[in-house]
Amino acid sequence: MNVNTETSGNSLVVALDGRVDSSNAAEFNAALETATADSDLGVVLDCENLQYISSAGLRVILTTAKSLQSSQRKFVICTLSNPIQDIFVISGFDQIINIQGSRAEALATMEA
Amino acid sequence: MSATRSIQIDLGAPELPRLAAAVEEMAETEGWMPDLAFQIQLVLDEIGDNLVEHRAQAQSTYMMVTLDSRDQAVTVEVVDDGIAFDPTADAPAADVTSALEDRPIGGLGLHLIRTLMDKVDYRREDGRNILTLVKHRTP
Repeated sequence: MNVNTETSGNSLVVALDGRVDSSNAAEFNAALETATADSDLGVVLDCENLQYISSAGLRVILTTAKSLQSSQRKFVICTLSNPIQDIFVISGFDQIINIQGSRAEALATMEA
Repeated sequence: MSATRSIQIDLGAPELPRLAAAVEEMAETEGWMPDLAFQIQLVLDEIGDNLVEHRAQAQSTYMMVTLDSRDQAVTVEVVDDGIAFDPTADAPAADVTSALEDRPIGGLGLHLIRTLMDKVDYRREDGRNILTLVKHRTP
């Protein structure tokens, strides 16, 4: 699992790649906290290269979404593969987290 | 094509990656579609995580997973030696509808299993929990 962060316009883009499961969920959580600390920008989590995520990883995403919301920062997730998009929908995350098809679309919603 | 394989996991050791590797291998040799491989991997991860997390209170020591891949369906049987626990009945329903600020963290594992699999059966036999999951291969 790897997390790379860059600033694009008024957003932090966090690109997640690899696999997230119970063995590295704590590491993923710490990486997200580090990536989003010391900033008040909105966050785009780009999952284009995310191959796998279990509910241990979904917990981290929900925790992050709650924490960003409580500090009035936008949070958008983009570029989910089909099976991952399915588990987001089954988990009801699509009702509470802004999910976009591409990074460009995600960044466009950050401008609005 | 068909194949059957059993993997025994010591719940007190970090052995779940061995299970993931066995699923990956069977997915490849049996030509599973990527979505099927992902879903089988996921449900076994969720079951394994639960068993490892609750092993002390459940008094369980191992899980035995049997993967059975046929043309029509993949059947996964998970046996553990813990106290009786029926995940199809004893687990609370997941909250997948509350607003973000009210949404509880966790509780999604069993919900994913029940939703992704076509059939989930539980039985108690000889002091063991036996969970049988079936996923059809043809839509």
